[in-house]
Amino acid sequence: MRTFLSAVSLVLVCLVPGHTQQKLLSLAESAVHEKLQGSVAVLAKSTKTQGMAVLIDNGGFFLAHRLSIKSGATTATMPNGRSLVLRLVQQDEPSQMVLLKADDWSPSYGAPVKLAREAVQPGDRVLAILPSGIARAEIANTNLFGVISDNRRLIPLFEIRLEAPADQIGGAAVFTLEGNLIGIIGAALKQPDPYNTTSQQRVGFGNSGGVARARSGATELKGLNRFSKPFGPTALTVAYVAGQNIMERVVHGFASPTREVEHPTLGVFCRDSARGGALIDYITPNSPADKASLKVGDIIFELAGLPIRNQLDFAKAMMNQSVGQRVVVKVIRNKDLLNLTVTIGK
Amino acid sequence: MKHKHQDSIIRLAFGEHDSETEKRLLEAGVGDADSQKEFELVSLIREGLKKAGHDTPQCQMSIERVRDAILNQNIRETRNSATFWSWASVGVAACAFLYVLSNNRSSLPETRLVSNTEKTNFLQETPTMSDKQPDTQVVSAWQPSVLSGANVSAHKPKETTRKVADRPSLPAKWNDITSSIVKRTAETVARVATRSDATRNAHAVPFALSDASASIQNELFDSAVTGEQGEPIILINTDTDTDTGAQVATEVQSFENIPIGG
Repeated sequence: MRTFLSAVSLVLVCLVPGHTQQKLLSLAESAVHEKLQGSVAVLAKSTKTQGMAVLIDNGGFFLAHRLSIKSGATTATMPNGRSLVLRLVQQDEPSQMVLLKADDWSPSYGAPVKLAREAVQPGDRVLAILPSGIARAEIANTNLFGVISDNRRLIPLFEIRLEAPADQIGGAAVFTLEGNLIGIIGAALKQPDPYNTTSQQRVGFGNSGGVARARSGATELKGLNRFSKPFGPTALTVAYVAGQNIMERVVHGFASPTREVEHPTLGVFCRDSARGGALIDYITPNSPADKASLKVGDIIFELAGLPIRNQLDFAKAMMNQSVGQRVVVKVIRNKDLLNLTVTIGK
Repeated sequence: MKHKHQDSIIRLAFGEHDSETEKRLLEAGVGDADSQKEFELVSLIREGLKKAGHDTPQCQMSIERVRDAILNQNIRETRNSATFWSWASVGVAACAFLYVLSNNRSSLPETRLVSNTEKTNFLQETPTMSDKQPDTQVVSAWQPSVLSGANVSAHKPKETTRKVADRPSLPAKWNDITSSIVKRTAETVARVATRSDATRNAHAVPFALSDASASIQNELFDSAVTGEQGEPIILINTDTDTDTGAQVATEVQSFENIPIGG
């Protein structure tokens, strides 16, 4: 029976015109793709596609990346051909996610997706739903952190390798093989300079051109440890989605009555202190830190019992706090030690 | 000055000045009445020593011992010079090591410039959320009385070019010793200094806390220096790549001078 289904699937996939990658999907991957037909929509502005929106609520609320939204309202098309008008309801700066609501939505139009609850591991096969079709992908790293230039908040990232070298991957949705949402692609690794072997991007690459050129030199191959064994028949693109904890927080917040996402914050910006700890560089007026009398120049060396060796430790410690929680922050001010109690804000 | 004068008197009494100086001093007189008395006393001692017998070796008649006896009212106990100098050299070496160590630490800048071009570009981007952006210019204008380490070091380009990797690393054993001392000190201080009100702390922190603060700073410094190198950090620029339609990401090993919000 399984062989018969595989044969039928193969024939169908080969006969139906579509994205090149779709012809290479396994039966399971095709099944997931089919399952998600009523849960995703392709965002478009005039004739150009901008990314994907994923249905997360029966009320017609879609999740998308900020990249895909250029104005307060946008048109979208579901794979079954249904056209939608999506309006911006809420946006979350730290994760760059936006919440959209479809006009005249009926629950019969589609079923909301579930977030991937199971722990995603490096090496797991996943699927990326692109505006141009579906692409096979793989989780490369789940232990990365990134900073977005405009809000300068630390965010955990998953690194994903996609077999989609020539496609627009910004705003694409990534799912497990069970059809659960992992995240939405916001960034791709910059294409390295293939002739500069000392480039810091030598360990990674952006798209097919980069891969082809990188493979042309033995010197380059030595630096491609993480990517030296591509699993697919085509070249790879390295992309990033927000980590599972952040996605859970975002979806939970967007699904709440207020539609707001609550990220724990003190309202400070820190940099590494030369002598260790996180040196406070700026304090947002009226923030929890301001109210707790933290000062610019204070060096945080412990937060909620966690040792703070540098600004990264501070940002990571903050991510694990809860809004409204009271924590003790230990700082060094001039030559004095201070224990300050701060209420975590949002 | 007084000792010098006494020394001159003793030398005169013992006949250790050259003939010209001796002649000049005897003609001009050794000084006031006290000096004259002292001169006479020393001369008597000299004569007494000469008369003390033939047992006194010539080397014991040296001016050094007589002078010590006069100045200290006692004759010093003879030292075991080998033991003394071996301990002294160890002490001097330890002091020199600590001095060099403390100098190296205290000269480290609070902030460092980012040499990487991309990180510099990252910093120079125009922020979109002005109320959340750490702008050092704004900070100094907003709170001029607080001059942060960042602002201070901004005017010291020579210092700011130093990096964490340039710091001298400490021997592991030294770290162990200092960390155990630091921990004990920190525990003691933590019992004393448990305060939750910032204003109270600012005015009433015990003076002894300064030492504990320095200890904790040293511990932080050690952990920062010996901290493990983790995964690379991804800088996400909001510029969109035309090929991928996604934001441009680059990998760096550390943020160093880029402030992070939290």
